Amino acid sequence: MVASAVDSALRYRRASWQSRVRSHPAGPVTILFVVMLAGCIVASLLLPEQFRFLLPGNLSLVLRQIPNLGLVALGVGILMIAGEFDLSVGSVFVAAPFATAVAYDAGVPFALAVLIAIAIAVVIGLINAGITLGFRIPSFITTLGMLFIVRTAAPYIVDLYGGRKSLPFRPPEGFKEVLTVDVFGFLPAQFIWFLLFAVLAYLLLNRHFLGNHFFAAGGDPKAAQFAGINVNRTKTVAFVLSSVFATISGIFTITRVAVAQTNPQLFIELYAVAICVIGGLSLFGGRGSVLGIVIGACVLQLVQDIILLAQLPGFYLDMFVGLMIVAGVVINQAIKRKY
Amino acid sequence: MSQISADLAAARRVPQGAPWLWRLKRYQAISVVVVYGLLLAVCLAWSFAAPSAFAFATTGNLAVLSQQIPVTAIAAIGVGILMVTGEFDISIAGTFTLVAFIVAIPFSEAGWPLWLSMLAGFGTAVAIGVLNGLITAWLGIPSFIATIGMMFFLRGVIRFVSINPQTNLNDSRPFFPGETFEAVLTGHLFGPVYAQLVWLVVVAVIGYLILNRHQIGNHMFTTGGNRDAAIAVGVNVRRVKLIAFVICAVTAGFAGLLQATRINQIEPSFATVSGFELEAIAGVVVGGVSLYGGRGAILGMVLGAALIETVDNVLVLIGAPETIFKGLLGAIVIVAVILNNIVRRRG
Repeated sequence: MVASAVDSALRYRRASWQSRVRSHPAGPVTILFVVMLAGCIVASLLLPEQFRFLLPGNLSLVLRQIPNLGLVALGVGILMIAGEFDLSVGSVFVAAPFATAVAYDAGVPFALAVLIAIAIAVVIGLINAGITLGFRIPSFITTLGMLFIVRTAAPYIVDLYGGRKSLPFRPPEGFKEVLTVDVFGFLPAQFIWFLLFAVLAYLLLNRHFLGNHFFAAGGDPKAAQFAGINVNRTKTVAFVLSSVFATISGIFTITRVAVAQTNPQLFIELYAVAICVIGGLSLFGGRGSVLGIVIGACVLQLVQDIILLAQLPGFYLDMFVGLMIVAGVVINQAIKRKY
Repeated sequence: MSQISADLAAARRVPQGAPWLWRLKRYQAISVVVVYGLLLAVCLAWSFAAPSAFAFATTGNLAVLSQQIPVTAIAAIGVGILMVTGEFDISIAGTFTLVAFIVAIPFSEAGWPLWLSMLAGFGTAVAIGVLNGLITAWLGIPSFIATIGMMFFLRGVIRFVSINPQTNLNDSRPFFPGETFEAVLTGHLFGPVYAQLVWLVVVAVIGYLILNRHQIGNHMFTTGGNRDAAIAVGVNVRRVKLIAFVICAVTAGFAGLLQATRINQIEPSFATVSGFELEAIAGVVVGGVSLYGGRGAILGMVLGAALIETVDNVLVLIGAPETIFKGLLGAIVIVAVILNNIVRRRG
């Protein structure tokens, strides 16, 4: 009895680590990242004058910028795993934190001002979910429309408040300290927060029943429905999470730069989708990992830094993002077909 | 057997009553014809009632409309034909700008003859369309992601080609292709009518012939309506989609050339901040083309684009702030898609 159990356990040998890396959604991007990072370090050691990658100033700059897009991509990625897109994050990222700045400027207690932004994000997420799921139209059309609606509406709502296009944002000292201080002088707190949120997202996706439902709803909605999962409710939660993550990222940003703006054309939404695709998430839902999103964000920022350090023209970044989106999807598809 | 043939006969029978009315109701662009007719009627009535407050029906304003509508509508025809096959193209703003640059720079700065630089420009458009088609149809990537990739890529290319050697910046470029060319493409004909309107009619007729009077059009409707059935009856689905992508890129490039010729200038930032792709998609969706493919009519695409441009024009006339148009565009797209869905489920 025992012997046969041991036998059957032995028959299911663990896969070799090579095949596990290859079949993991974040495998290829991890390899790409490690190679790029190694290349940067070698180049920086060989040419310390021309390529100043290893200077503490440069490293902390990169680490400070990763969370901007990375946090947005975490939310967009969770939603993508659940099988939907959110392009409206580009506007939410700008508009909801601006509401915080306006409210705080008007004398609302700080905690409440932050809650207002979160509430706005929740409402936008619910509207996105309601239209997409209620009328069964593709989410990228709904959220593309919402992107433009929020982008337009935000400045008008601001007009009621004196029509200012930008507002200084001076949160309580402690808040700013906690969010943006450099730990040990070089490690920006934003990056630690980003990792914390990533761990939270990981726990949600891989250690909580809701995460299971996200994967099921994105992978095979019909099967999920038959298994008793309320697919629409699951997706609604994902829509809300996507908006909320974008808002959190926006609050980090206005805290760091100490000014909130309504100037919206940052294309955050497209970079977030790009990060997710580079990070190995399936466009069709049901496949992906938090590790992939984090490393995808690191790769994008690393490329930006390389372009900056090598003094290459800026248009290389656009071209790289374009190529990586297509290449990423092709590689993801190929891997999915194989395993 | 007889039961089946009786059923078939019943299915084929046109319901009693006026057959033209029945056909009209089934016409896919009927809603936009009605809506745009109403909008025009309201605008004209308002304009005649209060000419000073709302200067819609003046020659000057109608001339502006007759120059602006064709640019969007021509691009919308391409986007619409592509949407009939069930695909999207988000990269048209990039194609629009890049083709104009590729025509203008060799012509004005390298002294190429105009026909050669136009060949280069439209060659670029065809290449973009082929690439989009190959990536989408052969690699099996959803077109809206593939063309977002293309959009970023074109944006980079535009930033590269638009660098002005004198200033080293991405300045707007002048484009003076000569009087004959300008007269043919954008000349003033009579009253408020400009040559662009004639070009729109030409493109629309060509689009109609492709979509409704040629085998390939039939294949497009089948490909978008029911891909598996299309494959089963031997339609080369990939080739059909590739052709639609090329048509879309070429119309976008032609629209870009019209715009550049009219204002004698090319703006590199148009590719990033115009929202032109959303405008075209909005026009097409308002025109009754199904987002899922398989349904659509050229007249609907043209009138949908005209409706979008007219709304923009009305907003300018009543002095609404410039940015409100894009928000409205977002709302129009969502509402139009919802309405199309409802119509489809009923029909």
